[in-house]
Amino acid sequence: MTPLLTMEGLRKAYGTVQAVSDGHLTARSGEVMALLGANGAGKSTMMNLLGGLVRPDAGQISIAGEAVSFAGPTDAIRAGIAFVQQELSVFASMTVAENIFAGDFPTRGGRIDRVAMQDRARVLLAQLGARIDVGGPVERLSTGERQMVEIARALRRKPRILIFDEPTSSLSAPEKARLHAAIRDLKAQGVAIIYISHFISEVFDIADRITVMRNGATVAERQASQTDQPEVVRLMLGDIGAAGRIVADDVTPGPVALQVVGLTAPPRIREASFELHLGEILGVWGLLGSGRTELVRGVLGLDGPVAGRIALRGQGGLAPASPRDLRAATAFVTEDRRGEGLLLPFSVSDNIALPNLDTLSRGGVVQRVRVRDLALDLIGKLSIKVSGPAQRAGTLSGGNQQKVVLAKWLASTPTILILDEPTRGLDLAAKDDILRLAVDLAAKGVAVLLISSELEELMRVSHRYLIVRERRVAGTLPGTATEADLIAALSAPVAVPA
Amino acid sequence: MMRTVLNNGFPILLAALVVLFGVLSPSFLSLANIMGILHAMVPIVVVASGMALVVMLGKLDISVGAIGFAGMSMAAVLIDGQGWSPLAASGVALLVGAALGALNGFVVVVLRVNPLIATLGTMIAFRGLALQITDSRVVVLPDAMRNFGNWTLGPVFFDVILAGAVLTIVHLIHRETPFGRTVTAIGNDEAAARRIGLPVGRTVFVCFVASGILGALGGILGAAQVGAVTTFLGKGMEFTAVAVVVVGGISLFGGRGSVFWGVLLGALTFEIIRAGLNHVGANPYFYQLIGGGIIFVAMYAAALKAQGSRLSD
Amino acid sequence: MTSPAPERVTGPALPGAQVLIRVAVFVGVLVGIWLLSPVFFRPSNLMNVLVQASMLGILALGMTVVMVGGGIDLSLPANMALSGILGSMVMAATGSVGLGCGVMLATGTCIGALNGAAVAYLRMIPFVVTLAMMTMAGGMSVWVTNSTSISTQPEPFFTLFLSRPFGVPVAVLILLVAGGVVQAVLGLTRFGWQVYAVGTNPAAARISRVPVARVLFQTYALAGFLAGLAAIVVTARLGSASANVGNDSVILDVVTACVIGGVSIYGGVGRPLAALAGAVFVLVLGNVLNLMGVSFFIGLMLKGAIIIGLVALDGARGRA
Repeated sequence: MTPLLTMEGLRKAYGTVQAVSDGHLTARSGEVMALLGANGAGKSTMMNLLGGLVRPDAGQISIAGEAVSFAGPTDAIRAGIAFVQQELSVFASMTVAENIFAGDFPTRGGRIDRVAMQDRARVLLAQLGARIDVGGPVERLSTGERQMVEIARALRRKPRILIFDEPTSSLSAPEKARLHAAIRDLKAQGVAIIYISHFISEVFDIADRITVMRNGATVAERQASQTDQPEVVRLMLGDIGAAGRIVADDVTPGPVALQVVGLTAPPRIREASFELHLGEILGVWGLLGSGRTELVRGVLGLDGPVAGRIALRGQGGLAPASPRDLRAATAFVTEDRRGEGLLLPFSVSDNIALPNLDTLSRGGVVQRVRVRDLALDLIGKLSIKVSGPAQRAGTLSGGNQQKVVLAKWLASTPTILILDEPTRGLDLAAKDDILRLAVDLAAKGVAVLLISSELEELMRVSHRYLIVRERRVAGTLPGTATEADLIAALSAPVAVPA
Repeated sequence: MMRTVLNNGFPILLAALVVLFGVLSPSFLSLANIMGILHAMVPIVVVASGMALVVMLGKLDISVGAIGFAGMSMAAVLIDGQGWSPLAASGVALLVGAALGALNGFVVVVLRVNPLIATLGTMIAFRGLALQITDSRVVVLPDAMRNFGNWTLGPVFFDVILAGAVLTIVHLIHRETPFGRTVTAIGNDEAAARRIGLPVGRTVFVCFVASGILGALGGILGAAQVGAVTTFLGKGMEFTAVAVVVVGGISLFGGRGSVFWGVLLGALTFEIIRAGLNHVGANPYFYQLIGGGIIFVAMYAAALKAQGSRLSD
Repeated sequence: MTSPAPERVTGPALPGAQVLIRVAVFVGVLVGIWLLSPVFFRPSNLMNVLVQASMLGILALGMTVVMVGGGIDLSLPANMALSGILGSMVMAATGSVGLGCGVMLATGTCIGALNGAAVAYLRMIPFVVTLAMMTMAGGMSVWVTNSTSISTQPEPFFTLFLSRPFGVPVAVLILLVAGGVVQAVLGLTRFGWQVYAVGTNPAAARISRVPVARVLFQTYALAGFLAGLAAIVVTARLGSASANVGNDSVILDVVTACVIGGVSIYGGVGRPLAALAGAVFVLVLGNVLNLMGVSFFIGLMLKGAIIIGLVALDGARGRA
């Protein structure tokens, strides 16, 4: 049987970044194909190509044996492709039925035929096993129920191919089970399903076949029954351990710099307690979507209020602190370098100066000479490649931008440094530079928290690992942990606290 | 408890005002006075109906008063200078409103200028256009038009019925048609509306055209009541219309509120305060201050409701 | 890139097209004036233009501060009118010029601070907050004056502010000093840098330890103070204070001046002195249209079109 969907030899570059270099994927009617890959592997680009959101530079997409070319999303919809995106597109103040039929309301004499619309909405939701009041506003629904509304909208078009992008990242366990039951029903009805997820264990629950992408290329396709979790993780991450560790295993960590107890902000963070010591690099290990970024942003109070206790080392030992106090003591390199890390229109020196204006100004007036000297000093120390301190940050390469981000924090002599995916999108040399900087800082006594999707990178520099799984801190592992230990830690059953 | 007061603050305030003015001056509650209040509300109700549509999108159109002025100026010149019939001239005024609304829509949708700045610019430009058309003279309208503006059916002014019909139609379009639901969807989340393929640009454009037409209709009805086109026609109307909509509980962030109840309640609040202050002999200039204060309080309440939890950070 | 320069780059430089358009329009206007009225370029007349531009220029400085921070303040002219009225009333009642001027500055600052608190701490929409404030301040002005003008300021007030030390009118001195100070505050101080950062990207600014809410609050308060300063200048020049000095067309001129001066309504970009030049340009443009016999009303249409055109260009650049 020929597959319903074949994507072959796809290539797509954004500017100089090759997002997909050799993408292959097939999907068959009545089958769930899981698409896996680490962050930046090219999954989203593949799906955007399929959804008609972007056009391929090369390669071929065929549906039922016929080559297709999509000029826009409408073409893809017409070809029977529906997309349930990670970011929900529901309209909070409108009713469930209105949300499902937005864009294609049944009408009678110009008016929306609410009776027919609600009946049909009920049928669609019943197919998904969801019991939701179709006349009530979506804002009263839980995230899981909203997701059902979104899926019902996709089903309304009677798709042949249905794509789920991270559908369970914010669902509770019963909601997840219900979603999986609905997917099995759809499968039985002959829909071809493409399922993208970072939760490997759930992929094995639902998928018939698994496609793995790495660095923009499809590297493997397996029958789910003929592989296992460790193999898939290894395929996703590639060969590890090519470069050796650049820290000693037997560092005696300093006193606790930061203590977090019972941090909770559902659904982003469910339960997190950990300690971070001076002079250590604590590697946060977990898959994308496990809540790593949410954890650090929660501790820093960046996404709204959280419950839990934070204590920070001050003059007289650990003392309770607010997220605001923590922000003042912490250097935070965010994963969104261009959106939050830098002010792109500002010059390199201005970016470096911004968090340090208190020390760089006298009587409220910024001392330009000191700003320039500081920038020149750090540009030299970090070997940032710029024409000069006045070059605009937006015009730098990714690696140099990241060095500028680090530079601005180095100048503030922080006691805690949080690095969230600091090497994303950087070339090998730049990655190495950034990691070595982190190691140097830890050696000088700074407490470093490092988040990275790349296990190799974490294994090179971590003194300890913090395991994050399904929005919880699941435990810690020592720096001597092997690759096998770490991969096992990802898929071990989560002990749910009573 | 706090929430109940916040959610129903303005109906409560409205009731309190009616009682207050009724006690201060019993004739305030006479049938004639009440009918007078409804009559005076006509232009703003019509203009605010169009504004409500735009606000439901999460946008603003502050050129509506100027559009009303420009449309009516054109009509006045045709009636006064060319001897057109008031009816035909009013048709032209509505066309002018549609055209100027379309210009707003073009600037917002195609040139992608922030709607506030776009309509601030066109507000001034349209007012200039109107003053140019009339040469900033006062144009007295024929008796037929004035009679129309003050024509009564029993105790009810005819234009009150007309305004009520316009408000109801806009409300039904918003509530019951695919177009209206698309407006609400855009106001909820414009990016999501684009993602699922709703016709965002077209819908926004049509709303600005509708707002222009209703702005012009408001101008016609206002001028007919007074019997003349003066340089003050529609002045401040845009701000009052925004205020009416906000006080009526239609969120400026879009997608929330009822067109019918919102506009009715908002317009009643402002008109009762104005008429009440007038009735008890308060300084007429005091009203504008109160009006601004009410907008502030309404917005403050809306902000508290929407983001109360975030204030603690 | 060019060789390293010690100068700080405040926001992106203007791209070629925009600079060309501005320069072309400016040169066109100057040539037009020269053809129509060669006497325009006499120093005495130029000084006169600056006096006329003083109120608009000071308001544009305030608007620049707010706009660079990513906001807008439509209440500035109404604020100025009310400040002028209250200050004049105090001055007339007490006979104290200093107290009257103090009241003008304090009123302006308070109104600005109210706007700032609503925007920064209550997170209300700047446009609507300041619109409501404009209505309230305007209402207060007509209410307290009964829609008349107050011209009972003590004589020393006029003597002081209409004097011409070294042949330069005090209004022009105030304008230039205010321009220099505001330029210095935005360009040289910690606060100024933070304003640019907040206007460019509030999320990134917050991560970089900028106290975003406080900075926003201060921009509105500073703009309010400048409205109070404009009140002193305009009251002295007109010889009276009234609600009418803050009428609707003034706010349009202020926004036009800023937009022509290259201040972005999307925040993070703009130089106070350029906005000041924009204010002078708006005034000169008005004079030229007048000389050419173009009606005031066409002038209004032209201003509306200029605002929309330049903002559309600005937006096109932002999306590129």
